[in-house]
Amino acid sequence: MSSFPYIHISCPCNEDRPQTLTIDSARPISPSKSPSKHDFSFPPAAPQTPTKRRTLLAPFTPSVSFDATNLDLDDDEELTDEDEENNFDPRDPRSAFSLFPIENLLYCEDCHQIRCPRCVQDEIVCWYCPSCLFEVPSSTVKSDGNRCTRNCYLCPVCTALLAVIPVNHSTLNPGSTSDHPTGPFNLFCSHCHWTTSDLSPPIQLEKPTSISAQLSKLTHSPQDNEFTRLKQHYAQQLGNAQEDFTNSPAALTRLMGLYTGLGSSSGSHGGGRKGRGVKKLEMKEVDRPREVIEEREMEIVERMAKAGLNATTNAKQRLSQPHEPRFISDLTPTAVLLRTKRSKRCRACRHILVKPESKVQTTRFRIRLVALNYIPSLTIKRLDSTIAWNNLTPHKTHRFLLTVTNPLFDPISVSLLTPRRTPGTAFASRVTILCPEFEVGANTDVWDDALMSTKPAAVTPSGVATPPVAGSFASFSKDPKMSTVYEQKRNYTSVVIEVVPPEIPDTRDTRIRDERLLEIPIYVRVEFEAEVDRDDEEGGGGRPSHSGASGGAVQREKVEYSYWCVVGVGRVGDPVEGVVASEPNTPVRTPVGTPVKAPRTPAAMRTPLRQVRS
Amino acid sequence: MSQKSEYIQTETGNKVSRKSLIIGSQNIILGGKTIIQADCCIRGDLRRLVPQGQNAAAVAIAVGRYCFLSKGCLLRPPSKTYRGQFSYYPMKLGDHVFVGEGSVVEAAVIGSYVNIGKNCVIGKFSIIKDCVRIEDGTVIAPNSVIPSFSSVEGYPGIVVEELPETAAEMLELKELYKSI
Repeated sequence: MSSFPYIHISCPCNEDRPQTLTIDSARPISPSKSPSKHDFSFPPAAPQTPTKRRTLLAPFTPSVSFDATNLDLDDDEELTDEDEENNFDPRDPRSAFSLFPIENLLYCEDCHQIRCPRCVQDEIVCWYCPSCLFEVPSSTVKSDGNRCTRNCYLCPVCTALLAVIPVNHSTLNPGSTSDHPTGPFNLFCSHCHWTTSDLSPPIQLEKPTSISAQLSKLTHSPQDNEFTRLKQHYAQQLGNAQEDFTNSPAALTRLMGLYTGLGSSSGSHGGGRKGRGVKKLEMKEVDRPREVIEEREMEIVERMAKAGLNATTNAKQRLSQPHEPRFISDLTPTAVLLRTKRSKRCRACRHILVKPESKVQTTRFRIRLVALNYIPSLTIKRLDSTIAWNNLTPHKTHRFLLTVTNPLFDPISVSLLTPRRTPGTAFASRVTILCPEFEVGANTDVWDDALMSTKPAAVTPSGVATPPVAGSFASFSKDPKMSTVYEQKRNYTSVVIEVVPPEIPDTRDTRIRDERLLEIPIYVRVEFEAEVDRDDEEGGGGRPSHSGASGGAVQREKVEYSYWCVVGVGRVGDPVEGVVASEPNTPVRTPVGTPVKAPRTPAAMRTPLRQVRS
Repeated sequence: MSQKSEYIQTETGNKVSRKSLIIGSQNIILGGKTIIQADCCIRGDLRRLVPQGQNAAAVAIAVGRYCFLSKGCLLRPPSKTYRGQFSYYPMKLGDHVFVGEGSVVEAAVIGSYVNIGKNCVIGKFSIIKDCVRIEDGTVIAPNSVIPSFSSVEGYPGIVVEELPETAAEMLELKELYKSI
């Protein structure tokens, strides 16, 4: 995996299991309706009190109390065992497919859901050559293939771009060259100094332009010839049978029979069809197995013995060429593969999430609904700079700083929930978020921040103001204010997370998965009051904004959503002498416990990311 | 980060390390808020040769805003012999360009939001478009073109991954400037 630390967010597509479909079987599936209605609807077992405005949004009914302070800390051990299956397990093979960094996620405004690369549909906007950056019309792509037809060629040896230089080019006597270099020309790789003169026979070009046309005349690989032969053969066959291949259904059945008949055995075609008096229609296949001619193989072996292994191609070089050459001198320049610009649609509601500008060289987007602008992002830092990400000490309490940044224009209140013990492993680490509930300010103008910088730190939910800590952490750890937020600025808030990894045997060699990899699942629940335009409601709503341009009645409503994310904290190292297990006496007995039960509730399972309570 | 005297701050907010080596500073344009760390070398003296009597092209290296040149990197304008005349050609860097430690850059054009890792070599006359990440230790062949939203790796560098739509935000360097 990537370097530590990393934070990946679980796309809700992970939770769209087939069983949600069976639960919802009472409702007929109608293709005209938005599939999201179906996919994310609440099971009938849950209390059905649909909101007035957005019927597709089910009410959020948590099956467990999220109030961290109400939880009794003493019986948490039992609870942990009981509710293990509710927790998101980052080691689950299935979850690996849905974990993405927030940068890679999109957000569908109509489904109010995170969309990962797996749940979007790509549509090609345009094709272009990544080297000359010219757009290639899709008709040309269809006729000439997906490679650049201009002058862009790659070195077959090292894949760098080839340049055109005159054969008699010499850097030693620059004064001798005339104004206009004259041919013949070579294709030259300025990275590995391969030229087309190295080929046997060498390829030399007449002109420095229109290379594709010149090369296609010069290089006739046996595979190209084979393809032309096949094409000719089938075109001829098709030509012979042209009158039979009309658009009538009879012709179609005949065509089908033709191929099914071929599949059975060669002897069968004497029978059935003859009796109908139809002209015998048969497609002769060019079905020749690849022949291995012994003399030719011996020739190759002799050539290898003579030239040595250095003259042979490696697998990558060989497979990138259609004729699979064995010797470097048989490699031909490869044309650059085209690249595409693509727009992306939500698979559930078919709305466009990303639409780039069609011009090749611009990087702007017409539509760009990225999750970064919709859901709060988490970052993790170490509080103690001596912590080595790749070598966490067992039994030692590691303190990290978890920062939640708010991209929205409304202040949000965040609850972070994590299982007390990391799930999915026999070697569970103890995890505690010291202040699991807090506020994050709105993403206001930077100037507001500058003007408000003199204001004292905002009041936390527990009612204690915490000034940013400047002193050493050693003194801070004794501070009873530990249960409050660590730092609070304009649109981000930082809290402390404590991790105590156990002793874990090194399993990298013996097992497939790395037991020492420490990943913490965190359930993020966000609640805020958004301004919603009345006009907006029917259309399925949009992102809450302060624009107010529509002039509709602006009212505030409570919105909440939640998602799982996985924090890759690091790898646990070998045990260190002197640091021993201190199970009953946690170094800092946390005043506010982290709720044990971070639920994989219906909220995360089947409802949209964002919900509205009236 | 370090003692205050390490950087000289210009009027436009550029912070240039006293330990960096900047040659031909009259031919170098810094867009502002660019950080040049210690042991960097910028060869502004290698500028285009023009026939006598004409005014020489003034700019050898143009750098945009919020660029970050890490320790020990080298910016050198590309050179070639064209029609029997050896000459250097100007180099242009866009905004938010990060150059990692010990990298050598001889590109013709580097766009905006480009992150070049440690110990890379950006070959002569290469063109790097906007929103590109070049991983540590990559060698980009001379004259190559790297299209937008690419992650490049290897020797010679080839595009290994497409960057997401958020690449510009990911590669922005405003916060990095503030931290110095």
